[in-house]
Amino acid sequence: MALVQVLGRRRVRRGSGGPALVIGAVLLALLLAASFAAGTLTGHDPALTDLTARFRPPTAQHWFGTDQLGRDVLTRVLVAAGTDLPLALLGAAVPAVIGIVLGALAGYARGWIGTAVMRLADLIQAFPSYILLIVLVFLLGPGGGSFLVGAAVGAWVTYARLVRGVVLRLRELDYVRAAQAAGLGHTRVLLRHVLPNALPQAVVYAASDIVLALSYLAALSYLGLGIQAPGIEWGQMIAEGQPFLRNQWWVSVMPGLAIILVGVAVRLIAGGLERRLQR
Amino acid sequence: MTGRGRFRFVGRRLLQAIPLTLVLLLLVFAMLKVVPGDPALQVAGPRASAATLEAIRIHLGLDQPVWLQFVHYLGRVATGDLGTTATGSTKVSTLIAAGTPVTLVLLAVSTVFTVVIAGATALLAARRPDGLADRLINVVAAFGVGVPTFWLGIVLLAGVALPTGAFPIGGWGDTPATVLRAAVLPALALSVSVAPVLMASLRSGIVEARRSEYHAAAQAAGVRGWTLTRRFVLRNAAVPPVSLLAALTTLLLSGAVVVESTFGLPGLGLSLTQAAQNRDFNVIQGLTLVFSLAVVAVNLVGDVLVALLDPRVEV
Repeated sequence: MALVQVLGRRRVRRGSGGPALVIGAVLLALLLAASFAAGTLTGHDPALTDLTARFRPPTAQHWFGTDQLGRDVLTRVLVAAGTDLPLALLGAAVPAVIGIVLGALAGYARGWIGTAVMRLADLIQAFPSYILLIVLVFLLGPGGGSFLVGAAVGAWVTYARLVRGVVLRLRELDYVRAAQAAGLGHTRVLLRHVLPNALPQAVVYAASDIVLALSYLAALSYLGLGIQAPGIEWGQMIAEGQPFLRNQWWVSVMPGLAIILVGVAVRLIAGGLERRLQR
Repeated sequence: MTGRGRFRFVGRRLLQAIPLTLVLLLLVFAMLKVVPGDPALQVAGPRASAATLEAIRIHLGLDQPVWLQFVHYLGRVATGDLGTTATGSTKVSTLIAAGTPVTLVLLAVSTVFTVVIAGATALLAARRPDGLADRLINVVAAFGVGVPTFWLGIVLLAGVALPTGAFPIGGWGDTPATVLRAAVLPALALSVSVAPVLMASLRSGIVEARRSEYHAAAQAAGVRGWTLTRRFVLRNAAVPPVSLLAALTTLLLSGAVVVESTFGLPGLGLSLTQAAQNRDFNVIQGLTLVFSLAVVAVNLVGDVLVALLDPRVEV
């Protein structure tokens, strides 16, 4: 379910996307840039183990402390952004594209194709997303690719419903009929005259779904079914630190702050986009 | 709706669940055909001869047509035979029977927390729509959905369980008191991500009920305070969330799978994760079946409840 859908769309102020969109986008861009320059920024090597420097608490030298192998947690959190952010973006974009195409098909073609697509959507939407994800990853084997397939299978439904609704409404309107009567092909009518009306809302959904995709990826990796070492991922870091929770809480807790930061940034972007597109 | 009408509606809804259940059974059965690797080879080991493999195929019924295999699968499911775990030591049905009460208790406690958190915040937010409290709660709610449940669980372990010693660091209890104590923190972690959904629905319901004519009439008749809230606001605001019930339970179940791992609760979710890690096919297949049937049942109950509560649902 898209976040925007869940929390409703209230109190939309008219006006520009405003500072929210810019602040959110800058936050994400900064985080992504920092992931490429992590070593230079913090002065530590993300993979260098130093057993004399194990479990240092957060200090000026190690802002997020060090882990069980003496690695700098902040550097690893930043490097992990290079894994998490692209996968989360893809995990939101891939289902959006699939859902838009299937929804347009279901709305435009109607008949048995439309019915089949929407029944499938009902079935998938009724199923708990983490269970669907875990079962798919089991069938495909752990890793980023399986995560993307799982996200695509689970999350296209929202977009398909949205686009199908718009297409059903528009296909009977005069200008679409006129375009058809003028002899334009189905593809052209769909792409040029129908889809542009459904896209703004789909884009807002997709933006807010980045948070969901990230939490799926982090949860999978946390459960040992997503990104595997030596890859670095936030959920995986949280799992690695959990055995040391009693005295070295920072190893597990700090990576979660990055997930929350992304959540705030994405919320700002989605809110800003919505205001801009609804003008 | 008349009594007979209701009865007919429930009956028809039950009948509708049958083809859906069959489709789900077919999908769960089909998992075996999708999973990489030859099942006979897995049973026999890599050095088995072609003749042994053939014998095992016949023994497992893999030489029969797929539809007949499906019929046999249905027969086994009907008798509760879901096979054994990969080590062969435990029956999958035993595993499921042991995990179900754990997951059910976790879901029940989470539901209580979710309703209390959502109800309290919705009442607070709806007091002055667009006021300071409303805006603040909306921001916190948006934030709550984005916080990973397993991470919140870890923060609760590090910040509450370890310093206070009032809750176990993980695992389950064996008396009602220890069970409840073991369920509190995971249920709390779970509720934080689900409560915002219910809160948003309740809040708009309350705001709408306050603007209604019957509310104004009750007020004019001198109904005040908690009685007004309870009888004229909450009762009407609760109808839309009831239709959310199935979706919310599914969300909780989904989250429970992850949070059970964080707290080491021996429920169905932990079994699922461990089976995925160990590539234990029978356990995954059995659990997928149980979860599917649970979802069908939850949606069935949800639809029936809505029909019973809301006179507008036509039968």
